Amino acid sequence: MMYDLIIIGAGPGGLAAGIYARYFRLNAVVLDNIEQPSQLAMAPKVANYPGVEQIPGTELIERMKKQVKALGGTIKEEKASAIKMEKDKKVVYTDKGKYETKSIIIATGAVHRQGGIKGEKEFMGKGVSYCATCDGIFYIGKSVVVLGGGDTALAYATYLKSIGCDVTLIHRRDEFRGAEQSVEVARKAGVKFVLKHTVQEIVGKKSVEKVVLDDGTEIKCSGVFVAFGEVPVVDLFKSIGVKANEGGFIEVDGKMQTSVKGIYAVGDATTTPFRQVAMATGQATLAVFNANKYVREQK
Amino acid sequence: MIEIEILKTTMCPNCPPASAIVKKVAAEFKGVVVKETFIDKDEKARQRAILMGVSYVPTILINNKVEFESVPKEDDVRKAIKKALEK
Repeated sequence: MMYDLIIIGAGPGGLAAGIYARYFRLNAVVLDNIEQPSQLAMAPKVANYPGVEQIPGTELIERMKKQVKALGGTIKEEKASAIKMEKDKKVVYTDKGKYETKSIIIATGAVHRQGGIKGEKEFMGKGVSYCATCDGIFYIGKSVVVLGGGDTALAYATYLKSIGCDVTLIHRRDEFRGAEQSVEVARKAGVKFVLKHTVQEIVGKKSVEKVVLDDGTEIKCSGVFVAFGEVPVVDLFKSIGVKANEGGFIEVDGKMQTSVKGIYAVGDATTTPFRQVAMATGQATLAVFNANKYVREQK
Repeated sequence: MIEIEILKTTMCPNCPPASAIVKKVAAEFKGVVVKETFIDKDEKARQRAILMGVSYVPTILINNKVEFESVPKEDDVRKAIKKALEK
């Protein structure tokens, strides 16, 4: 069977593509790699997606999945493992089978970036975490530090404060990548800020006991939440010639098309300057619009 | 009879895949019970987890001992169940 479109990834970009694929009556499948949940699922609260005042990231994802299915779309829990380019088709191999398709939308997103801090690997799962909504519950009534200066770090700090942690956010600059609104919310919540410093070492015995800053200052804490941004999940696409920038993020044109004809990319896996749910869904809408044109031209 | 307990939280994105893998593999064996505990909804369970040194979800216990602190691979779950059944 020849598909019109295979969408790789089931975060907001992939699911929005799944929704619009139904509007264009494209024969499409969304591949959901459950081993790599969307970054959105780690967001304690999304408050900037139009039409939804406040919602946990996991719930927003679930609603989008329901919407795809309600429109007659197909989501398969399969992990894409290889792609082969053939003369007039593309073949996507997964852990359960293969799909022949005319076009592909890459919506594989990104995963958290490790900090490369001494002690970080050693204490992973023993005080070091990359997901505040997952593991914050273990630190109620305890001191924690959050590392980073983006929206994720600020959201983590605010969330951890809200569940009863004593929170210090450590950021290497005195300005934030995150939105001013997120900074204000964190400040009002009572998050302490240590700016223009970095953590040199995470120290403890069986579990984390403190962090040591670049000036030798020690901050006692039981948990370290690392939020240093993202690394795109794009290895699968290198072999077929999809161009990426130095950071590995996929380059796209104004049609969301990659350097390979008929292959589009959206969301956090791309060089998008603003990693937001609304950006991913908007890009996905445009990608499906153009994939539809491409598919019709192939007929 | 062995008991597998999955410690999870409501908003943990890695927990549903961990549960799915454990349940799928457990169904291949007789005498394996799978229990899911939401530690964000059960203070006693949260305290028990902390006392066991757990600070990460999903954490998977087999017969009350920590076996996995991540989303496990199917084969690893299979091996762990076989090992526990042999005891």
